[in-house]
Amino acid sequence: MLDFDTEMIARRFGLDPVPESVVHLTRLIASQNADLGAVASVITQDSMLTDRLLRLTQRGDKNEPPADAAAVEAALMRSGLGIVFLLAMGDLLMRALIRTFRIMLDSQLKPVLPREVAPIRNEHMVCEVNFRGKVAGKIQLRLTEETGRILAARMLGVPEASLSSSVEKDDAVTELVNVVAGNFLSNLADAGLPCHLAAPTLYRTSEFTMRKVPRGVSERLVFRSPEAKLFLDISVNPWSE
Amino acid sequence: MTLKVLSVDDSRTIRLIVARAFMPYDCVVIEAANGEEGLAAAAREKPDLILLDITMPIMDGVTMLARLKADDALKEMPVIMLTAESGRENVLHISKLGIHDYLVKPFRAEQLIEKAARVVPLQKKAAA
Repeated sequence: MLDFDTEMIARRFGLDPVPESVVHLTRLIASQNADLGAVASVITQDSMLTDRLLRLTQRGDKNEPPADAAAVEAALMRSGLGIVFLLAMGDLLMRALIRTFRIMLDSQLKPVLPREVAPIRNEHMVCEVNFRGKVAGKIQLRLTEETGRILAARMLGVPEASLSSSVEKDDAVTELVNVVAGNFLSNLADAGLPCHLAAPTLYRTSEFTMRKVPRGVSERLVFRSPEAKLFLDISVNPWSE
Repeated sequence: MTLKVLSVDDSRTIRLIVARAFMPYDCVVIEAANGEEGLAAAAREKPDLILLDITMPIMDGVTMLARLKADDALKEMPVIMLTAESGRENVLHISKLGIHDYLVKPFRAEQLIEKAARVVPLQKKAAA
């Protein structure tokens, strides 16, 4: 997939490596006869991937016995391999968001369980970006107006009060999503799933349900920082090509 | 000598961040919102350094870079790509067109200044 030239260029420009577990997963499921046991083994070694899989397959109950390779394999059999694409892609998306917040906003974003954060009940900002290629999907970042204002001010390095119009806020939030999506798509390409990114669009809505792509699998990722709560929805159709 | 830095990015936010990063230095930052505007600004202003995004409307950064390199009057201008796209194959392709460096968004202002200072002699502004 990657040759000497590409790795040399990555070192020269200081590009970050793609997470090994994600590369491993995408390679496994991209093969014609993916070995369910091998996929389960990779997932079991990563507690976050395991938790997400069991939550997505409705087996995140605390009373259930501890997750082991057999439980993971059973969950995969119930849900199909499409869910593994979602796990791998969600992992890359989470990393891109957390990294962007750390570097551009000097903010430590932590993933939390969806049930730990109250939903946004009124009109809020949604920045949406679609992608298409080896897989097709949609990413949506949901946040309140107040959070948008805080993030924009941080990004621009100005006091919140100095943001005079929603144009500055909207442009900053859109660029934030653009950076996250660009990183995410670059990592997908390096993992063997090249896709094209559409330009992000920003709108307001009171609708809080996830917007899914046709025949897609979806997940809502939730994050908290001291100053913000964010909802990041990802919907993927792995068999679009 | 006051340096000229051309920032070509469709995001006003990024152009503001770039302008803020260079504020302590003896340079002026010229802005362009797409490759077409960027080429015109490069020909008009003769910048010492171009910071170039990839995904932009009207004309993208790769097209602008190719046209820059095909123009005898502009081809020597140093270019640093400043973009969220970091796919290895893409970076390899772009580096073959002729760039001085590549900085992936998200970035810190210090990283940008460090890379720029390797290409042009940045000097802090004299205290007023």
